[in-house]
Amino acid sequence: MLKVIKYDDKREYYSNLLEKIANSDKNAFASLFSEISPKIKGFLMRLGSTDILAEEILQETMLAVWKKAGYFDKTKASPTTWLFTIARNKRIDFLRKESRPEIDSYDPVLASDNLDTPDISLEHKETSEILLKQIESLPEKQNNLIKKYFFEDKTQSEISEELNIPLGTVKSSLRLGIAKLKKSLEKEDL
Amino acid sequence: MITHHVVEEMLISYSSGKLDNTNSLLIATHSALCLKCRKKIEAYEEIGGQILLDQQNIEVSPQSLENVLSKLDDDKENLPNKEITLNDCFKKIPSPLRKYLPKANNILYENWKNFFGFKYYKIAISSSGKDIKALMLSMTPNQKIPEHKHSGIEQILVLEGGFSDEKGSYGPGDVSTQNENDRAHIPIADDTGCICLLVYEGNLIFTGLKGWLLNLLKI
Repeated sequence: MLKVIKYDDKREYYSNLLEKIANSDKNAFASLFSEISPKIKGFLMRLGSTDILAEEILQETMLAVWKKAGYFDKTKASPTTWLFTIARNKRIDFLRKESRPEIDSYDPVLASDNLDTPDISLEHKETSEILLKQIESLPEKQNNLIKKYFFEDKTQSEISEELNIPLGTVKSSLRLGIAKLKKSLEKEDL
Repeated sequence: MITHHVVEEMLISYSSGKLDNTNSLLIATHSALCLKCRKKIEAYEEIGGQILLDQQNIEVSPQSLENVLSKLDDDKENLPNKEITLNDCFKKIPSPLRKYLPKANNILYENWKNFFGFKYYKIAISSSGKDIKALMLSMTPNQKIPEHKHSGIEQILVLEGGFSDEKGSYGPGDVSTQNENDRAHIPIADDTGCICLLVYEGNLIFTGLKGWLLNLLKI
């Protein structure tokens, strides 16, 4: 319960800062930088970046935050998720020397339900919270495996060695965890 | 209505950033056409947001903030104009894929090659050292892709028209997923033909009568 409160508080605070940054407020930018950059650096280093590379990607990420803050829409994503997607993409740009294909939310070909009202935003927020609760309620092993495999970019063999679990168990637990997440989203009609 | 979606693992990998660029091209293109998968991606990205928030802080060099502050200017990215007009031939091709196609003269088939009656266009995209290929394929009405199996995952996304194989029928936005454990299949285009994006790992292994010849040509 404590975690959810912390999450909502930060969400509101970061959203306000991003709105100010969209209006070129450099003080708000410096505040966001001191709040979030140690976490972004921690995230990048956990994914295997060296200290120097992490600092370099972090700087590119924060410059992109400054330029793109006007795109942030708190009714569509939480601020930490938006910041995560920017850090993720900057890391990919650095490592692959080529941007990854992205969905363009302004593409006229994009499928739409034409119901982009506040109710839909509420629905999105609820779906995300249900998924977050679902992943936290997975058995410790499955939760840890999903985070390591997908979000720490480790191979199944690396995880097997690191956690001292047989490779077959890594594979079957991952499969089971993915199936549970899928089921929880499909319960929400997704 | 889209009834065949991409597999869940691909969606989570795309959301986390683990997925290679070639498979990402297919996932982004399908999800542009499929609201359900797009919402799932947004939900999976929230896991990334939570991980970022829970991350242990690592001290950042004061020089980094100085560097960034010295580069800030008023040169913000403007929200794009929503009134983009597309030439008719690109109206069914979402933006992630459009960017990789030759657009000279506004002709979809500009620079495509012919192969046994098919038209195809190899997409230049890197896969981080993995052997994954992406190509656009155009089939005439009722045309068959010769019987083949796969050495890795193959995904076919329909953009226009449709096709059927032993597993089912696929219309615009649908994705057929095959892997090395699946039996050989023969996709057959519908009466209207089919334009699709094909992404596959390794090689297609042709197994029919002329298989040896097709395997030599290695598309």
